[in-house]
Amino acid sequence: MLNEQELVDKLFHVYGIVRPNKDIALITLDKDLEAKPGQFIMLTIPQVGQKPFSIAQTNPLQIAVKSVGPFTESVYNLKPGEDVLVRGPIGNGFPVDDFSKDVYLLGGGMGVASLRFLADSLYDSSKNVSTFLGAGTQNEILFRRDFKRVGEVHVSTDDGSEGYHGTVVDLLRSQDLTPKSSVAICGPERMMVATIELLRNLGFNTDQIYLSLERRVKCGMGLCGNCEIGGYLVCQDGPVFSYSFILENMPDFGKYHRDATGKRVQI
Amino acid sequence: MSTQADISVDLETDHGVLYLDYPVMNASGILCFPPVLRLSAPYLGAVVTKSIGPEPRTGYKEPIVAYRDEVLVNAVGLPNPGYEEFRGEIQKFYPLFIEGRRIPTIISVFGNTPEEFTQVVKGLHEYCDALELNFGCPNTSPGEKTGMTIGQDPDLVHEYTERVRGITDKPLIVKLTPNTDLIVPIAQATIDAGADAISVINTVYPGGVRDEVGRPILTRKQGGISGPTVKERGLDVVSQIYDTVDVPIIGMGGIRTAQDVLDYMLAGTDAVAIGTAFMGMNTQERNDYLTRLYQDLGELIQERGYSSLRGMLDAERTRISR
Repeated sequence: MLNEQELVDKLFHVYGIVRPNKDIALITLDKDLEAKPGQFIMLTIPQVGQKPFSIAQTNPLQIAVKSVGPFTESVYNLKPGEDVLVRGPIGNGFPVDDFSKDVYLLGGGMGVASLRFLADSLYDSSKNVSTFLGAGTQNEILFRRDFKRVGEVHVSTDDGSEGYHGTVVDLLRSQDLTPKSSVAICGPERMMVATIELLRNLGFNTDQIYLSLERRVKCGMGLCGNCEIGGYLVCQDGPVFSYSFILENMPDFGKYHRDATGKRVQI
Repeated sequence: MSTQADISVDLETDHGVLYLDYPVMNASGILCFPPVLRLSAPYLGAVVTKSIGPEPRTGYKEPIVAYRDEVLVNAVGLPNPGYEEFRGEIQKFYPLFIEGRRIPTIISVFGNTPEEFTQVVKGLHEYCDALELNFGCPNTSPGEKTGMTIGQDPDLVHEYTERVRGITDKPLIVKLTPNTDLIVPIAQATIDAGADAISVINTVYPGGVRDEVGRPILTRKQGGISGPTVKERGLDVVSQIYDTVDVPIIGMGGIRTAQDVLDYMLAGTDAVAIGTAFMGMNTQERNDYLTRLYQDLGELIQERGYSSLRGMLDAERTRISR
């Protein structure tokens, strides 16, 4: 619901940057932002552009970026002391209170940023947390230590440079999983589709599988509608939805998203 | 959903009647993808699509909106997939029935030339109950003769309306900009050319929300202002048109509460549209908000001693010495 402060772009400065490899940067800002795990921000570089980013940490605020286009490249190249604008937190976040005793965190790509925040929030809980991280190669595995603080960590890499040689779905298949667990999944939608197929075959409850969806968020205020899936707005109704909700309401899941013109295009 | 007073309205035009169970629709540009509209349609009198043009268009680079101190500015830049692509979606959407209720669909269109307007209208008019011609958008690019550039010139308004009138029998609603001191001749020009209703106001231009060190936030720097601060401007434009032109008016600009709706109704509108007030709401919150809005409006009407919106307007509008 309307919270004035969350709608205003606020001035932050870059405090520190770590670049684990030539594409990825972890950007720490100079102030805290009160938020729930799974929420996101709109990050603006003045007169350059704006994109949504998952919150990896709140005190101080930290995001992860992979340079995949002109704007993410500008974010990757930010320097300590430079200005950015932050709007948020935005979205619903993970329903942590509804989680079962056993929790699996499944992450691929930059999606692990919001799982890291989720893991931090589970640190003092009595939950048993296991994390599964998939990446292209060893130095793309992020937040390994943060996940280890809350439980065991399993890694897969496409090139076999660390952990299981293959996808995170292959890695999961090799494990003895407990179907009564809650599952939080962040990552590319194709990975989600493959993961869900496996989890459903193993008898996981679709109510307890939570997915953080990505769509092209333009306004991030619930006004423009461009981030819709099944008519629901990823920016306000999401980004986290249970798989049972997706199954019932979002036939476009795994298939279509809207591009910058609003056209439905295949994922 | 029930309110104690009857708040339904008829938007009667030369080309038909849009019967609205509720006097509120979404403003064009807001929530205006068919799947999103479907989820709130049970709570709206009519639904309005985004503005559709002849070709796919991405609009401006983000940030396209910025908010501060009750002011929202936007420079979205008319992104749309083009009418041919959009036809595929709207074909499956129209006509819209939800739980036995038929909800009117209004398609907003824009173009750079009369030919572009007619091309889009020909491509889409069979999939709507009315068309809204966008003569109001202020966020156009240099050299473009669309949106507000048309809406500030009575001759262009006449020409564009007449051209579209010539090719469709669907009710034509013309959306006008408040950024002119010729609103009455412009409204008259579009009615003379065959328009059926007027929709006012588009955003107030220009405005630019700035960050803490004074830099404009929008990529386009300036955009159109909406939100509570434009309400009095909207009411003034509505009154000017109501006093001089005999035509149904759809009012918008800063509407958030039932009192705002009532103020617009008494100033001369037959229906209203809401946009900025949906800011920060998810689907459930939006639908709950609309339900509450109608309850509040019903109560306001009853407090004035009427059992229907129509009854109140018929009595009060004639009583006011304008």
